[in-house]
Amino acid sequence: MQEISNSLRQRLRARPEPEIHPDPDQLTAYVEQLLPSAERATVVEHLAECSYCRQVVALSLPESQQQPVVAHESARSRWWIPAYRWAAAAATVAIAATLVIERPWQQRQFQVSQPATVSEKSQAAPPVDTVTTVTNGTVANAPATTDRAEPKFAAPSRATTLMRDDSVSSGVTSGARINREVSPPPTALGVISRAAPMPAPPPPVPQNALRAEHRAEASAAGAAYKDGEQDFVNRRALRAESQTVEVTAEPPVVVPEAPSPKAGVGGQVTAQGGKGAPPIKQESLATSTMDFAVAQPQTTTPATPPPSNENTLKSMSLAKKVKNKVSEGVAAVMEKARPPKPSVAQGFSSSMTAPSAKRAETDKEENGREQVERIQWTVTPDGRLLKSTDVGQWHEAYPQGADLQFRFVQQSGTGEVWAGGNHGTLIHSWNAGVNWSKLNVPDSSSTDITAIAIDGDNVQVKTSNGKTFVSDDHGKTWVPLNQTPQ
Amino acid sequence: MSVGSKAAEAAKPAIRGLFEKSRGERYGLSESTFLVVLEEVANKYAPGATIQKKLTLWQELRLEELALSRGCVAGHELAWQEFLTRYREKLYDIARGITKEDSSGRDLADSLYADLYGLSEREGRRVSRLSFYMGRGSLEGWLRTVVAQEFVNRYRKQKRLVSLEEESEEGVQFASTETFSATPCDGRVGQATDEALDQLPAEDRLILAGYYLDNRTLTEIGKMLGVHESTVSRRLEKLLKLLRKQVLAGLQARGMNRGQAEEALEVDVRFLAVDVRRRLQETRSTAFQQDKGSD
Repeated sequence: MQEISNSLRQRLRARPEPEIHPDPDQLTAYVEQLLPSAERATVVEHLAECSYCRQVVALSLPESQQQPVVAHESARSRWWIPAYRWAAAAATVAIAATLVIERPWQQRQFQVSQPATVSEKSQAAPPVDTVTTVTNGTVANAPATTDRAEPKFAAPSRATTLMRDDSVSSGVTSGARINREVSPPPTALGVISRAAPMPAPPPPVPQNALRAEHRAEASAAGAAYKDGEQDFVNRRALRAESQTVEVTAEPPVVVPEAPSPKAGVGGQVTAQGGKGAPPIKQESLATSTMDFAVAQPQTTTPATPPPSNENTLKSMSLAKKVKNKVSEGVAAVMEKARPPKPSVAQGFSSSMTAPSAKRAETDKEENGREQVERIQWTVTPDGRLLKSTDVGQWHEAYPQGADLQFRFVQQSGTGEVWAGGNHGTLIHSWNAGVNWSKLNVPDSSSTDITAIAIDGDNVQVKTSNGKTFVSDDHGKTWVPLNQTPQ
Repeated sequence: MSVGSKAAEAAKPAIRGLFEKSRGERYGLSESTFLVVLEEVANKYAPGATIQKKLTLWQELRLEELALSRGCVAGHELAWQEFLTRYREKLYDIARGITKEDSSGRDLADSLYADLYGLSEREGRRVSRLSFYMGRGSLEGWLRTVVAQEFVNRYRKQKRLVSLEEESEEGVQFASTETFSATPCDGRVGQATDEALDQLPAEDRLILAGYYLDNRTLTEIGKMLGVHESTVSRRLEKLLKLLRKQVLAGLQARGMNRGQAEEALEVDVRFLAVDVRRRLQETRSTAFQQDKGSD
């Protein structure tokens, strides 16, 4: 393209310049987009040939829309923005800590070839601690003869929590057998067997037990599960039944010399479950975590994976400290500062292992709608039209002179924005304020637009002299409300 | 009573409404004086129009600011007080923004104040530059345009009067003599380009001129046209492709085959390389801006 560019530059320079120029009034009206289309075309024709007028127009363009003063003012007025930043940093730390603890990439490599046996006792033997050991995928109960964990690391005593099974890919058992006694309120203590002394056995829920439980339920409910949508729907239904798991835990007890490095975390589980379930395919289990949504997440206790080695335990204890402090100190700030909280299902959707195409499309649509809804509009008391795309920074959405003051702004769900102000000013944007078009409401140049209502394609504007105009063609033509639109 | 006078009679209430809206009484204007001003606007922008068309034009005017400016022209104290309150600081800000320098901006604004106040006299009468304001756009925008015009006029005047010392500082004495003509060797290239340019709409030519001649950014061109810069970028890209195609077609219509036509464009580049070399001897920033267009 270079050759044509150079040739163009040369020929454009050689074109003769006109001698008669538009007056400053016309140029001003052109810059402010107030000229009728015919007159505007004339001015554009002139500007295409006249470098002098192009220079004048370029210099007389109003300042940039980005007004740093406005941004600073809004930043000062939003007291929670620093807190929001701190909360974001703390959330990052919490996520990193969770990753260190969870180590999902290691869990997925864990394969089991031997049948697993899961036994849990709760109400049946309250004073007796149970030791849940997992060795090569075998989960078994054993009498507890171990020390208790230090109180500062203990899980909340008898805390009733709603558990989310976020990873079921590890510890797959073939022909798993689960023996449980369902009895609320359990008093037994969760006991953990570990290869090395563990200073901080954090959450009270035996994750492997829960996983095995879900697997057992899934396998008991449908041995004939197959791949496909119906299979997925059935598993969702089943998951919905089994997702609410009451967990009551005492401070867990650590067995210093326990043999298994894959021990589950102690805790008593009260849940409905099947036993003697047939084997489940690995793929089915991997996908059965999809869309696991908790109905009313009052308290969520993160599940702890089985520690694999000593380093993991150390990092887990450190991370747990950070996590506890972060979750206690920052959670309140996050709740206040956070924009409309996404549903739990949306929050968990990121952990999908194999989302279906339909759901991905739906999520995309929802995200797009959320982005439009997240854009906020406001008119300041001094008549400036401001826009915020990130719930924090406000900036001017429309270049306006001192004499232009907006009175009202209205946004539709599709990103259409209408704003009205003095001198009958009415502007419209179909793309959330990226482009604006100025509209003329008849007989309103001496009045103000005081209200705008959007109903589908119909838009009504009310002027300060009490008149109401309706347009059904995106503002091209307006008719008074008491007349019938053509 | 003729039809025209009947229409004029019928328009009287509307004119009275316009006068009330302008608040001209506050600035010492009477309704008849204001009507004279309105007629002046109509004669300038819609000569020979019917009263209805005139009314349509008048309703789109910035009546309040028009009355304020005419009050200032008449020397009304309250009008000047209002004008200074509203626009004094703004005018300095505008001038500073255009000149990018405080002292020259203040100098420019002060000289314009003198014109606005009307220090010059014509036929024994004080002539204020505000009498040329017709209310098509905002008074602030008009002031900005007038300052920009004044700035460009000064710049062009100073550009013509460059001292020999300044010329030598710019390195004119080291400039190589042009051994090649800047014009293409084959006149058909220029003819084909002119023909392709003539076929373009005015807006497209404005984009090309803004980008290639004035070295404006896409954002600036977008603001001049009232569109987003991405739109300008897309249109520019399409325009270049279209123009290249049309120029090649034009050259082929003038007796060249495809290969010759493409070679003719490349030959043109060789001559323009000399032009680029000459521009590099000018200020460095200018040279870089020039190169931007050829990327």
